[in-house]
Amino acid sequence: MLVLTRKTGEKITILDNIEVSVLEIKGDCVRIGVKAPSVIPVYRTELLESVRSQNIKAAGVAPESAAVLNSTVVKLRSAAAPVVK
Amino acid sequence: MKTIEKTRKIGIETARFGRLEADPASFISFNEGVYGFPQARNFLLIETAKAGDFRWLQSVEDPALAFLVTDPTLFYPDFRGRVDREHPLLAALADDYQLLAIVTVERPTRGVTVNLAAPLAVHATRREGRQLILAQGDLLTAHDLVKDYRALLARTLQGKV
Repeated sequence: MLVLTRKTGEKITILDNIEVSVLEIKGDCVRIGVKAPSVIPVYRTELLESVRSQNIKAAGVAPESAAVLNSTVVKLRSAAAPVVK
Repeated sequence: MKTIEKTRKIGIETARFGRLEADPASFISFNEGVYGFPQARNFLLIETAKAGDFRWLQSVEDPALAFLVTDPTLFYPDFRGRVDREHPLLAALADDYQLLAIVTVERPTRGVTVNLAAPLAVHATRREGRQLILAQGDLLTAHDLVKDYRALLARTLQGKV
């Protein structure tokens, strides 16, 4: 991994069009600004990780769950139906 | 004019549904894969009468991989607007794209959650899909689907929706 030391207000550039700036350092928090073309997505890493692990969990859903879940939803809907116009 | 070709079905092995036959033209391709499964590129959307509003997105390449999905706007009516706001390019496609949300069921009767932080957007005619990541603090990877639906129906009864 490339490790660089930067002060508040300093930047690094990735390729020629992605700019990462250190905006503010306060205690153990660093505010970072990322300037990148809109086609380049930038996410907090933990969000990506939670999407990945949720997908992995979802991939293990048992086949019979679909019908059970649908009957739960249908029951809820029909319980609410009389008043819904 | 397009030449009319006979549909050519191919066999697809699946862990949940046995061997299926499908026309490759009906596949939905995820050219960037789905997070956690970068190698899974082609999926088949399977509807069954018993599953109603829920469908399976079955991987063509991996027999064991299938996601239970649903149209999130059935349960969260304002969800489409949230996606459009963050993805103006999709909003421009208007009705040409469809949203699917992945559902996780830990046990058949409880622990049912829906992922609103990372819905799937599928282009209706090109049949290309992509998993979007919505960086909106209140959209989570696991929303309690049954609880939220009950609340939505209650609000509907009170005429608030």
